[in-house]
Amino acid sequence: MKTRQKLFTSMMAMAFGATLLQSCKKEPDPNEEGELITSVRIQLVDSANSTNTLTFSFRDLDGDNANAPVQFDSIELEANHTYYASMELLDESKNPVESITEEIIEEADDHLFVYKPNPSSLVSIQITDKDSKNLPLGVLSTWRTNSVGRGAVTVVLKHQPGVKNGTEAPGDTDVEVEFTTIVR
Amino acid sequence: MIILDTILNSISARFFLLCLIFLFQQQISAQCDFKLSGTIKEEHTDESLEYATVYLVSKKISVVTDSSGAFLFDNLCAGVYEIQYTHPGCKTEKTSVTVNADTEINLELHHHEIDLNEVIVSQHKRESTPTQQVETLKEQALFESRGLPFAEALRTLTGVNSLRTGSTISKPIIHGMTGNRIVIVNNGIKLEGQQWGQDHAPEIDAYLAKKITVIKGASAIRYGGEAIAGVILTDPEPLPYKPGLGAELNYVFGSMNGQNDISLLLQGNHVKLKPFSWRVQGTYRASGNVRTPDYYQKNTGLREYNFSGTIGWKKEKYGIEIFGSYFRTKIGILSSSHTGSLGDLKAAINSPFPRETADFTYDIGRPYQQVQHMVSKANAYLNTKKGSILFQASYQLNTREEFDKHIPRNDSLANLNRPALWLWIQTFNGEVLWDYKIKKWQSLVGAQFFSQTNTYKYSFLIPAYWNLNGGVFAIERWSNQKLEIELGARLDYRWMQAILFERGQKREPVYQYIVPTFSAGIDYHINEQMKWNFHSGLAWRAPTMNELFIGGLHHSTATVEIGNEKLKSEQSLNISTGLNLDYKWIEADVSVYTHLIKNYIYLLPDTTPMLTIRGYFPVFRYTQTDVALNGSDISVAFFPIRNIRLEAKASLLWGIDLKAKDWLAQLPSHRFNYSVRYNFNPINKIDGLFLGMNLVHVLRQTQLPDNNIDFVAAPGSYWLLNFDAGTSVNIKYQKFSIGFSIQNMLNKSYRDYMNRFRYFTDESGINVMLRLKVPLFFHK
Repeated sequence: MKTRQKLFTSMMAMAFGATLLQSCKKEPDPNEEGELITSVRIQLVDSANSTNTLTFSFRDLDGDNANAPVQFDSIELEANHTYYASMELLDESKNPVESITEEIIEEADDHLFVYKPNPSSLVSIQITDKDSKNLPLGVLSTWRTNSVGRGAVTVVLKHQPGVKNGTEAPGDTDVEVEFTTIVR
Repeated sequence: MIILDTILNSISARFFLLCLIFLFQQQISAQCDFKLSGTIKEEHTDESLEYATVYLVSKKISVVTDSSGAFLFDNLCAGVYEIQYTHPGCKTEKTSVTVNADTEINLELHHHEIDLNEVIVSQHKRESTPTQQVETLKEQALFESRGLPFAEALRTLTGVNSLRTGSTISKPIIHGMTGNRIVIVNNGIKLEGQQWGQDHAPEIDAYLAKKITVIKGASAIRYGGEAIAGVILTDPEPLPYKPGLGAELNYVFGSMNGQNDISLLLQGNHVKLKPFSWRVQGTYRASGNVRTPDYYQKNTGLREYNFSGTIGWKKEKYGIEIFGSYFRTKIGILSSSHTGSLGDLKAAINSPFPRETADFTYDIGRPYQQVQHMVSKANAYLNTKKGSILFQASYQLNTREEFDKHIPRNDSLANLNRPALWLWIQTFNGEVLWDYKIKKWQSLVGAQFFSQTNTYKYSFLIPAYWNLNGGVFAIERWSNQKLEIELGARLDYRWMQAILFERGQKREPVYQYIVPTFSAGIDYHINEQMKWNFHSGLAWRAPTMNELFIGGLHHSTATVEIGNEKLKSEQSLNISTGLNLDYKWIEADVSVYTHLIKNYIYLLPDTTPMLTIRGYFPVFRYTQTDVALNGSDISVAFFPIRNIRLEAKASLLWGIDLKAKDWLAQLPSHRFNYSVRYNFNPINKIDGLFLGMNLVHVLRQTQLPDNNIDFVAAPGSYWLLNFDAGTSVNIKYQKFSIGFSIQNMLNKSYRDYMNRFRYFTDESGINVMLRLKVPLFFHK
């Protein structure tokens, strides 16, 4: 009986020992993070002078986490000018930086960029590209400024898989950035 | 209906009055149909402000302005109202307005140039601890709760509520506290998963449980100090050591969401090997889209598979048991609850129907969560002359995967079918207990150890960490025929290290806590029929990793939660006392409690919203205050004649932020339950036949802080009528049980304050449920 008790006790001790040894640290791999849009970049080319190229960005490198955006430009344009705009979305949390724009073009039927100038007289924006169903996409657009003024342009990217109808309402918002806009 | 509502309100109010001394009742007035509307503009730019919050102080209602800056309160009585209003980036302004007709006011706010680092100090509250108030769910009551989510089954007990995310995800709340403040012990093992999450339901197969016990209060010393709200114990039946083969089949059907649960248990013991017993058990649960009275909730199905096995070797002097279980669930998340921005959330809230509805289906699409929980355990006892020694070692592995609504745009990434968030946590537990008796003192002393490793993939929500904990405790119980006294003390040491990556820089902060816990309780038998008890507990709870470091966006509430590295331990004092009466035609159980918590950790809305690539989001930061959670749990049953049982139950709760001298938000409102049941006398083979009705009445949550931030006002009070019937039939010495119930009989549309999806959808409609239990036992 005694030996059985001893055997039993030592078995339990071994079980505890194993428990202690097994505990360990396990580190995450930050490069395995999922798809993220960190940056919006608008490139505007002056229709009258194609060497006059302007770029404005919003960059929030840690996505939805607590840190504030590292760059948030104001858009500055000249009055009574026409610009050809192209939109680029990036994931700068990855190395190398990934472009999201190509995937949006590939899945044009599920996406829509919406441009909302405020006041609406500040700049009139016309989407110039279309998806396979002839609905607007919005990677490319034309911006026509009017008189001198100050306001904002809100850029929205809606993800509308299966429900796209050319309006902003359906689907979920992937991007919504309000750029302060100055026309001088 | 309205008349019934009024009657109910007054019954509840009376009941309330009867049972409690402190009582306020908000009331009934004459002409209350005025409207107060208006707009909010920016002072300088004259721009209409969308998403401004307007708060009616005395009514504790807040609304959010629409795109034209307009807001509306209706059904107001005549009077003077104080209004507070604010907008992200603006200071809160106050004004008062006299309403004696439909009134319109125009308000202005001034935007800060730079965000001030000011924080609204007030707000929110929660919890305290009661004491060893125990309630159990077993046998018939447990059978009648089969098929409900684990936490919903417990709601029949007073003082227990649930925090829900839709109809399938449910977490228990005890005296207003949930998550990290409740310890769930499943088959002797402290459940360790990601229990901090509001939409993380406990990973438990309720069909294995034969008994569920709720210990309210911080006095459950044995399970660790962090259980300041209480402990929930689920216990299976002990292994059978009588020779024979036994089986039990449980089947549950629910009409509302096409629910089918099947659970089979087999156990046995052989006459030739009497010390050895075994049990295997498995459960399959499936349900489809939840039906509300008017529509189906898209993508709300559930699929769950569990199995477990136990073997035991039992002798008089010693015994050992080995247990293993596997739990796997896949739960669809209401598709309309996933929102990308504050604008999306608002559109979802404003829609009277969820923006996406569907027909009935069992298919589960995105978004969904998939959780696996694996447990293995060995425990043993050794009986000596000086009492028994108990050992237990266990290992748990929990994997939680949350899949977003949308697949990645990148095809190669999409093909990997990765979740948006993957959380992995493993826990080792070991304990040695010594149970002995000297004269009238029964003692339990023990040492416990645990080690936990947590990590994640694909996105950050809480950090990877390592957590070691060691504790010792002693519980002494003295009793004679009239009196029972219990004293307990515990000391834990906790060491935690987080692993953080901040813009490529690695940081590994270490936290250490020494956590004491004390408890004392008295049970006194005044006479044969009456018992009095008093319990108190003093406990500390160290902040958890999510409270320290969480950082992320919740898609269903479009809010950002941010942790706070500077949090200190919570300290809780809880006191409760109760009377228990059991006399001929009356059974009563009445208790009052208070939990006073210093440095209570909670989420405080920040005045500065966070700018992301999808616009501004409201921010909630973990902070600390002092709170009192006071309440009363009441249950009274009468038997006017032998076969009739009338019962009334109340769970009352008042949560106060002592620093802000205001209510604490996010607590369940007062809840009442009235039931009548007729028990038939046994007829031949039919035993325990009953018919019953019960009525659940939940008041509107009006105890909200002055600057409560919510997208919609708390939903109104509601009542539900449920029907229950059941019986047992004895056939060849086997007792078959049948249950039939109709929940929400009148198919009412309603929403509940404690359901996180109240922004998006009504609760489920009428549900006809059928339950069968077929036990089989073969002697050998």
